[in-house]
Amino acid sequence: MPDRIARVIVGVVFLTLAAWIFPTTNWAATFYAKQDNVKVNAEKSPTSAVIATLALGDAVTVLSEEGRLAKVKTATGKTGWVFKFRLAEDKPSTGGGGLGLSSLTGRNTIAARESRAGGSIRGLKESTEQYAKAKNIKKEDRDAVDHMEAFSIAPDELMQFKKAGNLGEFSGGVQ
Amino acid sequence: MNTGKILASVTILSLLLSSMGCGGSQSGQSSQQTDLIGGIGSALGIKQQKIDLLKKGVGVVQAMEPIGEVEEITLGEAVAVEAFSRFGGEYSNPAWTRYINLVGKTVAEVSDRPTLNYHFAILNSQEQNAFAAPGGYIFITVGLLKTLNNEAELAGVLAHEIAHVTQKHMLDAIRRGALMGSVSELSLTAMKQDPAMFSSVIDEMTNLLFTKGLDKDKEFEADVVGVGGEVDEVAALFEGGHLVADGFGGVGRGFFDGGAEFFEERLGGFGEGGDVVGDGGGNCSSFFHGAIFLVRR
Repeated sequence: MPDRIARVIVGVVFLTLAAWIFPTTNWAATFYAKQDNVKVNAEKSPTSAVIATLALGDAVTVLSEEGRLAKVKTATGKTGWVFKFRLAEDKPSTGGGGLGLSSLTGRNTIAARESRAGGSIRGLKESTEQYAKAKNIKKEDRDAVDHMEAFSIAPDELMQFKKAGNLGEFSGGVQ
Repeated sequence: MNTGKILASVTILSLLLSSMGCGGSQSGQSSQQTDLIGGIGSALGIKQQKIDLLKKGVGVVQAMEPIGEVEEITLGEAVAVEAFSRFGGEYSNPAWTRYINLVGKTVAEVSDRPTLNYHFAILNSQEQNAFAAPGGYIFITVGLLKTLNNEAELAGVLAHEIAHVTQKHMLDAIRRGALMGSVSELSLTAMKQDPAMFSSVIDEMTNLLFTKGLDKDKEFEADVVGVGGEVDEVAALFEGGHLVADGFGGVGRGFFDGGAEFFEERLGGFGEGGDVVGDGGGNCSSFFHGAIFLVRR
C-alpha cells in the first residue's frame, strides 16, 4: 500500500514537472483573423519581422499557444506568431446579415462618418438632426457628438501607446 | 380569387424574397415591401385597416432579424446626443479625451467586434457613471474618472461598456420592443422617413440606458465578456492570483501599486484617488479585463 501511495506521489510530481517544463499547448486548429492587418511575426516578439499580414476572415492553422501568442501556419504555408486575441474560433461575418446597408458593403467596417446621409465628412446624420431639433437639444450637445465622431487616433500613435505601456501585443507573449 | 388572399400571397412572397437576400439594399427593401403591399392592396380595393395590419406584420417579422450595423450606428448617434444633453455636456479636455480614446481603442482592439469604429467621450457630470450606446459610443463621466486610481481601472470600466456594445445588449432590448409591437420597423429608410417612430425608439433606449438600466443578466454578461472568460489567465497574470482570490471587494487596492505612478504621469493625475470604482454588485469584475492587457511589468 505505501508503495502505491509513493507511485501516485511520483506520478503527480512528474506530471507537475512536465507541465512546468513544457508549458506550450500543442494542437492544431483553424482560427480566423478578427480584423484586417493582423500581423504574423517571424519571432515571438511583436517587433520582429512581419512575414504575413492577415485580412479579416483569413484562416490560419494554430499549431500551438504560448501565453498570449499563437504559433500559426498561414494559407500560403508561412509559419509565425500572432497575438492570439486577434484571432477568433468562428469565422467573422464579412457580409452583414442584418437589415442594414452593411450587407451590401461586404464588410462591417463602415465608420460612422462614412455612413452619414449625404456623405459629408462632418455633421450628424439626418435622423439625429431631426431628433435633436424636435427635442430642442442644444447645439453644443449636438456638436459634442460631432467632435466625438471626428476624433481619431492614428494607427502609429496607438501602436506607440501600446508599445510604451507594454499593452496589447506588447504585453508579453510568453508567460 | 379572394383579393385578401392575393395580398397575403404578395406579402409572403415579399418576405421570402427579403429572407433570401434578393434585391437591392435591405435597408430600403423593407420600406419598398410595405409600399408594395400598400400599392397592391389599394389597387385591389382592400380596406386600409387590413393593409395596415399586413404592413405591421411585415415590420414585426423584419424586427426579428438582426439590426444592421449602419442602423445600429444611426440609433447610437441619437442616443449619444441625449447622453451629452442629460449629463452636463462635453467635458472639454483634449489631453484626457485623447488618453481615454487610446486606452479604449486598445481594449476595443481585442474585443469581439474589433472592426467597429468606437468613440470615447467624457461627460461633464460629477455623477459616477459610464454608458455605452449602440454603435460604439462610449461615455464616462468626469466624476467617475476622478475616482479611478490607475489605467487598469479605466480599462476595466471601458471594457465593461465595450462588452455591452459587442453583445448588442441595447439592440436586443429594442428588438424585443419591436416584437411587442411598439416599433413598426427598424430600417434606415424608416428611421429617416418616420421621425416619430425614430423618436420613440430613442426614448425607449435612453429610458433603458439612463433610467431603468439593463437587466442584471446583461450587466453580468458584460462583466464576463469584459473579463474575456479567461479567469485562469487573469489569475496567472496577477502573480499568484491574489486579486481573484480576494474577490471583487479586493479589486484595486494594493494590486495596482506601481501602476498608479504611470497613470498619473500620463494624465497629470485626475485628482485625489477615491474608492475603488464600482458598487461591488457587478462592475468590479470588469476591471480584470483591463488588467489582462494593461498590466505593467
